[in-house]
Amino acid sequence: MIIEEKATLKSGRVLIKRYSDAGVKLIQTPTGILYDDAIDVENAPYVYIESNIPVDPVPESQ
Amino acid sequence: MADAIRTKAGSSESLAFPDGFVTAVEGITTGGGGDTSDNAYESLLRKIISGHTQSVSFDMNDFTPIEWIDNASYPNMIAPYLCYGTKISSLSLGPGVYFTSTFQGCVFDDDATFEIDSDTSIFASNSSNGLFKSSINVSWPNGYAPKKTASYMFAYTSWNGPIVVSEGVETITKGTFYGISQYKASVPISLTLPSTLTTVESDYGTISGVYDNYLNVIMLGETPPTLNSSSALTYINSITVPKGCLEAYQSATNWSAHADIIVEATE
Repeated sequence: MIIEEKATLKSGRVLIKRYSDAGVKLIQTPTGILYDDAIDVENAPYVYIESNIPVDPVPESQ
Repeated sequence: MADAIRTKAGSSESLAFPDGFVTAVEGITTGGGGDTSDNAYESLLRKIISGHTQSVSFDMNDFTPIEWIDNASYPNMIAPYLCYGTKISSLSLGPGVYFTSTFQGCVFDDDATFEIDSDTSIFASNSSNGLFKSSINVSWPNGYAPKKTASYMFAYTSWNGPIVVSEGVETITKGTFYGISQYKASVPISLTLPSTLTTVESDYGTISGVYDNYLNVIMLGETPPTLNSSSALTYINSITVPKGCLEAYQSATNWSAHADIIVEATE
């Protein structure tokens, strides 16, 4: 399932973050580009579906 | 005593006591005691030959070029700390080699030239590595036009000047500029990315400063490259984009998360 979270920047710009709760990459349509997660402006013309490609593990923090 | 100093210094000139003795001794360059029996390096590390397995250290007084000796069959890895403490004026490296901490503790001279292969990973390590003294142009040998950087190529490196990635590069592979920092001064450093860049691959901090030393990124491309994850850019102070491209960047996927720090170039 794709999780959606809404956030607002200090400038007032509203963003939507999408990621898979199954830990897989998202396919952006109509571009076909793969994303680990995707943050778009509220009215962006994209639709996302889950792929079967797992997201790379996050390395140790700095 | 004078003869001994002249022998070590490779000089036949007469020495005045005591100042001449002091100057001559100070001018002697010494090696770090590495084993040269396998011909793995020559002339105080001016040349590196693949297949080397020994860690050595040098205390070199002068900046020197390091040349990669061509070899039909490259090993996967060169010795850690091989060049520790050396001062490097230019670096030419062959393809397909993975370095781990090879250049830790190195200092690169002002305007050092840096010719590297696209799949050569140089500084991958878990601690601070080579110091780039100032103004490095990341470029590649004539006739070779790589389109990708190597994973973690410059991870954890310290710089003392702007970094410019040459035109022609299309992909910044994951971790290429992970955790880069300014050497000593607590001011942000800049990273200029070419107009040919189309993708910044996903990974946390593929392009990132460090927590107390944020990075200024300068984009030359009018079309925002694909950012494969929202965390590919971290610890960023500002992102400067070409004039007229502000809205394109601020509304592009994952660039939008940085909209408040994206600014337009003045010209």
